[in-house]
Amino acid sequence: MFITLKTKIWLTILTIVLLFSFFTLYYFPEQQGQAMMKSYKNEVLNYAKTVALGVNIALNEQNYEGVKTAMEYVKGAPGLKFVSLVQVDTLRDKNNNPLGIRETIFKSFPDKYSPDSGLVSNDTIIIKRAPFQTTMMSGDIMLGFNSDEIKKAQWKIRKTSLLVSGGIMLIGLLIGFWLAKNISVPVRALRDAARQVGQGDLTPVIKNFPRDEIGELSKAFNTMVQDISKAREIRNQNLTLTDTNKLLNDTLADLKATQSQLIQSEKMASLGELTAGIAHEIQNPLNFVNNFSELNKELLSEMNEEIGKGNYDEVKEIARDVTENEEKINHHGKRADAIVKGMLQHSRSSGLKEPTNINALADEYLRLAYHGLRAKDKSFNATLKTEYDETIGNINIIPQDMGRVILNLITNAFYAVGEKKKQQPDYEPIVTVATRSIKTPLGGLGVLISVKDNGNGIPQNVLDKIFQPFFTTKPTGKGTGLGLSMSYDIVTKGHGGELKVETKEGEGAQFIINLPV
Amino acid sequence: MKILVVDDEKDVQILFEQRFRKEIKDKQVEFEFAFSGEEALVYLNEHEQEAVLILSDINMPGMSGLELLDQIKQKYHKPPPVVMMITAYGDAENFNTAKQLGADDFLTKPVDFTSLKEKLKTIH
Repeated sequence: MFITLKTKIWLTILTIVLLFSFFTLYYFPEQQGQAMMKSYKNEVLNYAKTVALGVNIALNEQNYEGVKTAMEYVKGAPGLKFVSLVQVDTLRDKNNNPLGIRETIFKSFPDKYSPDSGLVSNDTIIIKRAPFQTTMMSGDIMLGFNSDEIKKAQWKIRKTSLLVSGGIMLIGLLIGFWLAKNISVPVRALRDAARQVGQGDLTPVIKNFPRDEIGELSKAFNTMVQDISKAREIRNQNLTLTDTNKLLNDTLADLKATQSQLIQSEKMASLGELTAGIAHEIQNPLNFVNNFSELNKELLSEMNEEIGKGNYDEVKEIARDVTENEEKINHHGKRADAIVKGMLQHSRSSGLKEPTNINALADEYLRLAYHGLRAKDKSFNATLKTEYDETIGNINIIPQDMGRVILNLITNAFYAVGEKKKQQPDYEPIVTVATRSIKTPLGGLGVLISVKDNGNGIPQNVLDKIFQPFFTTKPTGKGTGLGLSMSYDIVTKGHGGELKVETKEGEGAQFIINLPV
Repeated sequence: MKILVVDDEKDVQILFEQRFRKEIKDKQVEFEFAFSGEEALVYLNEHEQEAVLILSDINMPGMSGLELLDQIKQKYHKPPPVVMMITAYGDAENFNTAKQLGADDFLTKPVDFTSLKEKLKTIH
């Protein structure tokens, strides 16, 4: 059963007040009344004894005035109804044996009042007797006192009790209200706050807490809520951090994706530079294939004619030509095949090192770059010089990657000489590609590949930036700014080599690749 | 009729010799081959007025066919020989440049030998 704290407080106070009221309204006045009655009776008895003593003395002295004075001694006592002198005679037979007792009222005060000598105490009157004995007379002094005074006093006590208990009730009510306010209100506030916190609202803070255990509880509750709030804040911060981390990771992934896309774009861009060259390169062998196969058709029909004529010497000659042409067809077919394969390899790097003829690779890309540029720019021309060291043989490199580097360097060289030609029409552009077997500073064997041009050279102020990604001196749309940066990575990271540049403004530039073998 | 063929592809020689072997046999045409513009100029200087027809590729390393054409038409050989330009790229720009420089005709690769033979007859 759910009993609210307020109810419990009220029940407690009510019980205490009721007990107290019972005490003040019933028990206490009753006891008081009885005590008062008792002392009143004693007082009356004492009066009786005093009067009896006075009467005794007066009778002994036979002073009847004294008897009267003694009896009137109590006349001023409040509540006195009467005082009587009762003569008690013992009746005897002739043998002087007592037969019984005869009581007669000898004298009374007030005079006119004459009570019955056998009168006893009842609700309205209190009767007390005190004996006296003289030679002349013996008897009792009987006092009759009104009990009204006592009743009045008792009633007064009851009235006071009623007032007191009323006051106590009032005080109880006040205490009840106070307790309710001091206990129930803060407890309810605490309960409501706890409910709110339970529902996830961490704002409630209890104010005006009393200076007691509930106040301490409220303080502790406030501290707890603050702690929870802080903990939640930290958790939220952690969540935010997690979100931020996720975001950063996503951004990083995006950047990586973009980077790889850019690298792919650069590959495609360089492939684009190659396309025209490739078209030229592929067109020539295809033309040969077509021409020689048509030729063979003609030759074979001629051969048939000669066979018909029986002219076998002629037949033999034609057959020799056909065979020769077939070899040409085969040769040019393979040439076209190699170009297509090279093109595919250029955009799709296997990433594996394989023994490669570096001279052939350099020459292939030189031709592709040259024809590619010529296809785009008819006016372009340059003297190509090649100085290949034929003693190098095959070296272990990633051919597509190194091809891309060489293509990039040659394309740059062509661009440089092309620019200079625009400024100086009389200028003779020369691009030199060279390879050389070298000894590395550590004593091992190495290969040097250089691409040299006699263009305008690289200004000193951009020299230290040329290997940075996205740095380009070409107009927008002409260069990605990734060529040299990618080349640098391929040579240094991919092959453990070096890519250096030597330049003199106005005289040209030379890019040198050093590869360990 | 003497024809000078200028092309950086050496197999062109075998191709032309076989395509025109009947005509060569019958001594209707005579072929000379140069594998670069420079080589062609050297030949022309040495054998002035011998070649009546020059067939030149445009796209060659070093001196291009158009430069060769320019040299022949502007600086050498009077009267200049008939020059036909051959290129792998049958585009308008090359065509116009060649025309401007005084090319007499324009052939695209792959060379259609039947129509080339027809053209040779009209020159002859």
